[in-house]
Amino acid sequence: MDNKLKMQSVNNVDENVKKIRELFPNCVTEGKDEEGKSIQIVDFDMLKQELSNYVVEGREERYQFNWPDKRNAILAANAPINKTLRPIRGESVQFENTKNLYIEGDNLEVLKLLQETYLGKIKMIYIDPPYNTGNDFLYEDDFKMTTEDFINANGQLDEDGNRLYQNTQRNGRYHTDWLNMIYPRIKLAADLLRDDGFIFISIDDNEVANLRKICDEIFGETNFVSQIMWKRKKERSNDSKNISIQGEYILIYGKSPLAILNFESLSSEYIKKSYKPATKDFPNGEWRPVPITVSKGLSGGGYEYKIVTPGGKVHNRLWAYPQKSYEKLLKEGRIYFGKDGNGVPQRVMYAADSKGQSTTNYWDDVATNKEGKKEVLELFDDAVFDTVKPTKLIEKIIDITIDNNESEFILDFFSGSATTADAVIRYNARNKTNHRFILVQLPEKVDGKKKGSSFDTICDIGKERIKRAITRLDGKYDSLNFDRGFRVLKIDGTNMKEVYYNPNQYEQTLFNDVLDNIKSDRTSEDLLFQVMLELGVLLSSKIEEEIVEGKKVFNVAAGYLMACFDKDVSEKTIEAVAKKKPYYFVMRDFSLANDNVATNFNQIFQMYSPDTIRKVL
Amino acid sequence: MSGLPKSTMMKKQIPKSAIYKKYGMDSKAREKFDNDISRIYIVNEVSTRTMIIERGLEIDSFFVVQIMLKNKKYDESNIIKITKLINQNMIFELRYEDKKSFAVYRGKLITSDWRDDESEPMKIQGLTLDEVWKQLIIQIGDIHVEPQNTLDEQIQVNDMKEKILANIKSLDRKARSERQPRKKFEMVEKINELKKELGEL
Repeated sequence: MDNKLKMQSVNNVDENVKKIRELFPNCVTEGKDEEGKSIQIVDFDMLKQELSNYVVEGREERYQFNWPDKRNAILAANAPINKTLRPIRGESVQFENTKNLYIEGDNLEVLKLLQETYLGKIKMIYIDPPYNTGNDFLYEDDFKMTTEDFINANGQLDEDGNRLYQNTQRNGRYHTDWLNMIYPRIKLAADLLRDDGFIFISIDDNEVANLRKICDEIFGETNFVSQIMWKRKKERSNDSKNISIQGEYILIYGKSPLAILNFESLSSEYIKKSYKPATKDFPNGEWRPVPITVSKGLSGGGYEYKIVTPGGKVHNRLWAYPQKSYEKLLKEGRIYFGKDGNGVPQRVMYAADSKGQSTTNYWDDVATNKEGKKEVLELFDDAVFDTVKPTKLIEKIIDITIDNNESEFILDFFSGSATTADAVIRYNARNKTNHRFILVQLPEKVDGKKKGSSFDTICDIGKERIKRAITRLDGKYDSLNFDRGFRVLKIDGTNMKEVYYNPNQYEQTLFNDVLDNIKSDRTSEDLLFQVMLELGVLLSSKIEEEIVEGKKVFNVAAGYLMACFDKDVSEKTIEAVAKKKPYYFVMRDFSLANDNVATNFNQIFQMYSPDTIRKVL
Repeated sequence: MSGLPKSTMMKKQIPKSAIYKKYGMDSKAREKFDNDISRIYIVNEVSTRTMIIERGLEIDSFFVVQIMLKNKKYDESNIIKITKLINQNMIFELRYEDKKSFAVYRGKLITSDWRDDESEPMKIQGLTLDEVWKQLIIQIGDIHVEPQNTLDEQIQVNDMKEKILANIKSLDRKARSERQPRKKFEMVEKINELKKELGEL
């Protein structure tokens, strides 16, 4: 049926075929899949011809970075999944009004679910993935499953609710496993970035070389921006054989050449070091004199005229500005004649007027892990996390990437203790901005041995941290109206029963089952969110509910999507919806008890809002 | 213009050729002008000299200029050109066959609907020329001036509203025909933003 929703994440292979078709329409043709269904397929022979001399095949040598199962990792990134995100009102804060999201689940799956809606929308991604130190726990993506198993795999967690295992150096697939874990995730994340967006990835010596190679592959070497050295601790210790490790790396890649970093504002230390304090003559804050003389013969430019100092001394040189511009600067009180008033004139630059400076690839004064840990201790009176990034580090990243006139998306899909959310909240409060965070975290069990921990999973810690971080700012920035909430969503198996996807495999005798193709424990709001994922609706959109003729009708994003999942929807309800002219209307199949009803509903829409796209579940 | 006392009436033609000559219009501009406009007359002079009224701070006189059109759908720029060329306060009475419409320039051309000759005359309201002038503009543009706004502010607000509404309309048309949900949603978000902006005006 044409108007039936897919209720499945995007199939990236389909998207790739579409891209090929856009570039080489003659290379995409029609064929049949294993089940004999017509599909679009790529004619490789034709594509090869189009690319003639630029094709490498088989065992020919080439520059490449490879590891076992890389192909499967690509398949894993592309395969669609039958999963959904369920809203959890009870754990959210200000569910109705907030634009922030906290998503619990395997980030590979979450990134897939976000593909349709958040494609090309994220301005900045920061992640702090496992460094593969030998003690990390990795996600176990089972590549051995067939695609179909993969799609329908529920219950991939072990008895403890974990899908994790410890990757030790004794493991024969030490780097392989880590690469297979990180590759599909970064590949999916890259699609979410805007053309002027950036990804920042924290990493240390263990995998920095490999990570850089795969990022070169995913983003393109030309979009490499920097490999920042960040000083994560000030002390020296003999924790490594030859070297005391004080630093780690932050890899930066832009999505395209359009990604340009902001200048950093001048640090107070730099101002202290390089600027003079305000004086009677130069009262507008810290300032420094800048020469305006031009050396002869160097550039060939410059203007020659006499300047007489207030003390009466005459300087006849080659100046950088024409006389008129100089006189204007003098009038504005922006010329300095030295301490005795007879020196060679210099231009006065105020710190406040500075555009700032480019950031460097050496961050030794940002804040250390120790401060990160202290921040968590202040909130929890308890070391709920061993290593935590300091919020100042993330705030610095926000500062050099984000346009404060916009309301931008910041994504962290290895969010751990939720430092990124804390940093976004602080940044918004301080700068009166409205940037939005999307955090993703697998609900890993908190190590039971950790003393005094009253938290069950890392997500519980993360959510609690965000709540406390918001409360802590109360009073401090009372007058400001920053977003004090977040919507919690949890990944779960699709809302639909198997019959929804493969109706042909079910016999007519199972009529009852066919009638109710939705799992019994799912609410209408669960259904709404799965529909939102498919119809490109931001998950933070405003959701209004109203009762029309006794039926609950959702109105999402002020009339973009209206939906009613109740039984026995009447013509009156349909009429009320149609009059509001939504862009999409979604209802349950069983309301269309017979063809007559379906025809009636269609007629009502034809009359009031023929453009409304109608879909059924 | 009906509604004004007889003492203000006059009938003096402004020959088009005089306009072309005085303002050095080239043949292309002339042709464009001539396509719409057949004849131009000054039909009223309103000032302390022609009727009993106090002069205002801004306005000490204005003229009613009758323009005989060749097309009902005329190019506004031709009328605007007259206002730019003749440095006077003017109300235009545009005539096409047996219908008329009024126009006045105030940052943009404000026009009334087309009406019959027998329709109700414009009301001359106010004790000063400033007020009379202002009331005429309000009548021509059918402008509802909110208490917090001056007339010019209101014209500006209405202008912005019109632009936003046109923007919403064209976006809505695009959004409804867009097949990709994500792009569709982006457009609707933009529409909702514009609607919010509209509400804040």
